[in-house]
This record gives sequence, C-alpha cells and structure tokens, in this order.
Amino acid sequence: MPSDPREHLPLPPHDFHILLALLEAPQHAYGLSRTVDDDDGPLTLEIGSLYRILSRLTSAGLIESAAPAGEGGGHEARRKYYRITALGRRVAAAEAQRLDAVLRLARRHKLLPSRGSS
Amino acid sequence: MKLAEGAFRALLLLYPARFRREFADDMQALFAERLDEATAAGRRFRFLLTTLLDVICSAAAERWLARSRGPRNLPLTSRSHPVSGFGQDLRYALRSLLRQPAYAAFIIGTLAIGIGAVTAVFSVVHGVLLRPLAFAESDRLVAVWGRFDPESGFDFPQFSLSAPEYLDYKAASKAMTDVAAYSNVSATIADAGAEPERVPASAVTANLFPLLRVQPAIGRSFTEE
Repeated sequence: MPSDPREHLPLPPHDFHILLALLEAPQHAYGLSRTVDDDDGPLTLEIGSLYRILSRLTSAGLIESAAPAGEGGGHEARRKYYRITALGRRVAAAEAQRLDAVLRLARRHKLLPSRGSS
Repeated sequence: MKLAEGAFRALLLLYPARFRREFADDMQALFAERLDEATAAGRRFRFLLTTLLDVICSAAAERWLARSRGPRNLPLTSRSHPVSGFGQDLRYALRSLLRQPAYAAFIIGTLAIGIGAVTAVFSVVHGVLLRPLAFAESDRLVAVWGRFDPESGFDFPQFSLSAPEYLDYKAASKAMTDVAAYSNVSATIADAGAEPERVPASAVTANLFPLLRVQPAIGRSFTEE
C-alpha cells in the first residue's frame, strides 16, 4: 500500500469525515455514523455505505480494528472498534492542507468572506 | 424486530465472502441499534426501505470491486471512486459484456422488458389518470348517464339518455351550468363522381361546442335555428 499520503488524495468527503471522527479516540460504527450524520446535517450515512467506507479505509491501511473500550452486554458486546493508523493521520492532515489551499482560492475569488472580516 | 434482523442477515449474503467475514456481525449490531431507534412506524418503514436499497447497491459495488480488483490495498484515489473511476468502470463493464455475449443479451433483454413494462404502465396511468381532457376547465365536465334498476326487469347500470330525459336535465338541472348531448352515428359522404365513403360522425346539440369552448377547424358552428 502506498505510504505517501498524497497518493490517497483527494479523499472522498465521507472518508475524510470518518478519519476526522477517529482522531480523538477509537470508535465503533454506531458512534462513527452518529458523528458523520451530525456533521453532515440532514444527510444520513446508511449502513451499507458506511461499511463500504470502513472496508475501503481498512484496505488502504488508514484505519484498523481495535479492541473494545470496555465490557458491556447486548449491542455493546458485538461492537467492533476502529482506530486511525499513523498513515491515516498523515493522510487526514494532507487532505486538510489540500482543502485549506482550495478554500484560500475560493476566498481569493470572493466565494467566501476573507478570514479577517466577520 | 426479529424478522427484520433475520431478513437483514439474509441480505448480507449479497456481499462477497471476505467482506462478510470482516463486517457482517458488526453490520448486524448496527442494524439492530438503528432499528431500536426508529420507534415510529413511519420512520421504521423508511429506515428499512433505505437500508434495503443501500445494502443492495453497496453489495453490488463490493462484488464489482472484488471482481475488478486484482491486488488489494490500492490507494483510495485509484479505486472505484464515484467520479474518477467511472470511466474505468464503464470500460471494464463493456469489455466484460463483450466477453460473455449470452450473459450480456440476458441482461439487456431483462432491462428491455423492465423498461418496456414501466413505460407501458406509465402510458396508461398518464392517459387515464394524469393527462387532462383537451377542453377548458375539464375538471368541471361530467358525463350524464341513465340507469335501469334491476327491479325494472332490465339491468343496465349505464345507459344513454333519451331525448326527453336530456330536455328535462337541460330545463330542470340547477347543479350544471349547461347540458349538451351527442349521439354517435355513421354517415356516408361522397364527392360528385367519387366513391362514397362511410365515416364515423356524431349528431350533436347546438350548445355542445360553446359548452366545450372549442371552435370548428373549418367554417363556423351552428345555432338552434
């Protein structure tokens, strides 16, 4: 798998969201779907689409399975946790820089207010 | 609930085995959690429907990926990305179909039958239910029929009005702005020296054209006199 983060760019938007959601701590799919849904507003990430992304990110070595955070019963016992890898962090950072450059361009074309103005 | 979870587990069989081994249990747990959340009947129905469609599409995409992908662990941008990989997917699809002409014919035939059926149903629905009549304010037009009750010895639930009945409706009805009548007949027309021709025609009352607010294509309409 390519270790140069730039080879993974541009990231599909939901993939980037998932990486961002995992930066703080490992999460299970339910938590990830809630985070992405909250960030994206009314768009819901359906189950099939979510696991396609998780499969894609796992195959690319950007995330990996992690041991559950604690003991629990019911749904908790069946949950699988995911955490971001070192490569995943570098790719997320590279994507953020790429988007930052795009936004600077958008500001220059006055599609967005400049950073100084409120 | 259990039925839905069982159906979802069966649906997961659509995914490639490798994908199932890795994610099936987790997907089922997430499905159960989201189903628990959707308490209202309407929300649950929407959730089940969107999940069904999403899983079918995702499973088809994963199978496609499993077939088209040789080695795993390619960078994200070179895999079946919604936009960048589309041209590549299209070329691959065409090559696959050309390699298996019988399978391609089956797929194309299935699509043709499906599209044909949908078109036929829509044509009927459009003609019968959606398209308005070609007259102004057609929603205010009604057809008036007579009816023989079975007690009368005849059983005609829909029977043409007689001329006196029409005159009674025209004179007495307060529910309708105007009443016009027509009767389908056949007529024979002939030009001098030419073969006569039988044509479908209608005998109509003078007020039919003003009632429908249409003008004759040639000449003028006629009056009571």
